[in-house]
Amino acid sequence: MIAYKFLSRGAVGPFSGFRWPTPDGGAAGPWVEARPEDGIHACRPVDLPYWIDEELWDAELSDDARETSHQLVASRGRLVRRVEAWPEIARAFAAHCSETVRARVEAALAAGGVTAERAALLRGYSGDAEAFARAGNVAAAAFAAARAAAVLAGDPEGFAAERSRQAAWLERALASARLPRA
Amino acid sequence: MSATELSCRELVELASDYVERRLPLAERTRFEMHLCYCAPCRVYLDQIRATIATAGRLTEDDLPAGSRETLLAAFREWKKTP
Repeated sequence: MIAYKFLSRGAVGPFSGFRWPTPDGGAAGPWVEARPEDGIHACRPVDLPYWIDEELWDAELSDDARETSHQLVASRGRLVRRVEAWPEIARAFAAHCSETVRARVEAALAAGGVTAERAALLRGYSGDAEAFARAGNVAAAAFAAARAAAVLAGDPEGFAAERSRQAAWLERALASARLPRA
Repeated sequence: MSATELSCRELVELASDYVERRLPLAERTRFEMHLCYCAPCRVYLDQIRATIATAGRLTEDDLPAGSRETLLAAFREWKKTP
């Protein structure tokens, strides 16, 4: 199974600190076996917004890969290729999150009926998303946009809905990046 | 806050269990998802790890003279208070 895997700079696991062996000369990297209590973790497209980091890779997982909350877990995995377009997509995604939340907040405030407390929250999240996007903190920009969506919806499910929308945006952008250029 | 989100306060409470690998997968997932977007909590976790690493190197011989009795007296008093 091929899945997405986010890593920190230098193909380093952001939580384990493990430096992944990388592909060489077009061939996939060597298989890495995880400790049974840990597992190799990767993303489906729907999971992408939750795990954003500096590098994005295509990774192959062993046949025992299973779906868990917000990720795939397998006993073995290997890096297949780096998604070279990721830095550009990430910047565009952060800008998109910031612009989307600003537009939605402005529309909600213009429509009226928003309490002062909610308005302050919404302006705060919108400002945060913009600042994070400008600073290159993509994960935080997307998170701020999702928090704003929850407040706009008046329901925590607004957060999940925004994350789904973000995942769809990322999936389209990544698919588009793989198309051969004319 | 959505069901999957962890607040910074909750993360702080779980940090030691995370570092010592005692969290179940679902909780660990929520913990790591929070770290993805929260730089201050990443710094906090690094500090916890550094503290554990440093404390792990200390031995009783590292204590200055008299410190052992002072610490034991403090712990006895702490145990007395409800």
